[in-house]
Amino acid sequence: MSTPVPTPSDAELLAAHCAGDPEAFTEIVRRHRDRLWAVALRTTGDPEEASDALQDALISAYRRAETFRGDSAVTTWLHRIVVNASLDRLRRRAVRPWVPLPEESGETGDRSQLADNAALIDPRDALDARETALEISAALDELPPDQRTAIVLVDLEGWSVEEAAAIMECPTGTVKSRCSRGRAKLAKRLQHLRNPDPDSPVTPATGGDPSGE
Amino acid sequence: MSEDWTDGDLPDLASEYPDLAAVLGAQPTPTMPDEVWARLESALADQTPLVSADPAVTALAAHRERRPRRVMPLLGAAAGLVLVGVVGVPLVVGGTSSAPPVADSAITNPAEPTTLASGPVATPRSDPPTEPDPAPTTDAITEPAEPTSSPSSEDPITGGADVMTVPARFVLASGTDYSPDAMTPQVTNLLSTAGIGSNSGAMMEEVTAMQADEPAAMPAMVGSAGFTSEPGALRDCVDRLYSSKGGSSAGLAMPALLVDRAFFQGRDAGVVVMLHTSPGDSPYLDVAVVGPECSDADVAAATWFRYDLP
Repeated sequence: MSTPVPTPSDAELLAAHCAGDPEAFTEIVRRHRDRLWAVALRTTGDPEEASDALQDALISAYRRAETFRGDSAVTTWLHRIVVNASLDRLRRRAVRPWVPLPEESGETGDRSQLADNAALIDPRDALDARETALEISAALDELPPDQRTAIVLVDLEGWSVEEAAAIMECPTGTVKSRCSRGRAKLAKRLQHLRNPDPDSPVTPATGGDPSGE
Repeated sequence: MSEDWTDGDLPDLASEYPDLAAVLGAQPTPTMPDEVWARLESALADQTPLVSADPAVTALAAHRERRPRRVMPLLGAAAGLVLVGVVGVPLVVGGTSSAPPVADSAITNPAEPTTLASGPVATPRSDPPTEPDPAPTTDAITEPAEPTSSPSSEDPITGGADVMTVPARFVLASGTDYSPDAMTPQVTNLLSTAGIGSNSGAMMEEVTAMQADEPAAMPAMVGSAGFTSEPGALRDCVDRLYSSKGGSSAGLAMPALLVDRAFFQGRDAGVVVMLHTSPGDSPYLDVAVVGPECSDADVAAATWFRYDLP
């Protein structure tokens, strides 16, 4: 009777990678590929950007594996790098389209204008699953990157607040605050998906607007 | 709005926003397309293994011992912030002025700060922002400097007024590529673009006018992303910049005069112009060049310039 070979942990694989095992790092990525992809895709909102961000992140992690101290899970460390790479992509993308000065464009108000654009979408079309996914992606894309990342990690990917804080390298209170504000905006932005009647908005179960805006 | 959270645990999404939870919960988790995996696998296979695969060579602990120590320069930068981070416009919370400013230039920077009207070059106060790094080491130290306390005094501008709700008088997106050598004319030009005179009296008028404005007069946000994308993020950014200079993070008391989403030495950045006044101290401008997200790391790495005002 043969003895089953134990599956190496992520930490053991990373140690093997640092020791020169050419397959170990790829195996780690293989294990977590879908979760890493989901975070990159939902953070950037674009498959091409997500693919590029993921490649940047993983090559960087590959080369700098020795900096992993072991004070968090390997997956947390990897997600941190992917999130940073995704946000870096967003920053580069954000540099391009400057909006004219308010006086020139006649704009007033804030991003609530973006939420108002939801009224242009036919609710019947939004019933389509793909359309709904696009709507959610667009709504996420309208959030500030820090709020978007918090929502993606906690509410979409199921990380705990503590884990998300470790990934985002910020205090847990910051993650909670970002989630709270992001949720309030998403609820308003996506209200038409659940409430065809625009006069019946999605509201917090406990009332109030945590965004404070 | 501060990012401090004081309401205990974050509620479950399903209990806070049941409909939103249903919408999001119905979405399948994306799976990595095969072509993306193939590309990644190929890219990783092209990498050179870290060391030769010799079982006698390496253990992770041994690698830890000789990993590059990036902590020292970062600690150095943090120490610099502590030394210079004692200036700030006092923050007013609930009508009480706290953390008033203490002059700093004599401590760490013997060079006289530039006067806007005549000085040739401004004085950078810290290292310029570094290239974004997708893989920050966990050694990275981004803790803000401890606020420096000093005797309290009433802020002459807010006069003990309530916390400001408008984070900036003007928000621009000039596209200017700022550089240390050209900061003085560039900041002067920025003030001119916004129609603000380059003397303390004119600037105080702007702040006074801003205080009289209703929050509804909040300027339109001009950046499509980053800290100027929404008022709360901008408020947080200005607040934390003040805090990094020794103020309290309890709430924003003093708005920025100007915020310009632009570039600094070719990199995306925000230029935040803040008026500093305090009893017995000549007014001056603190200008912070901060990364586009104004994250904690961005604030810690901000480059500061000071201009005495005529």
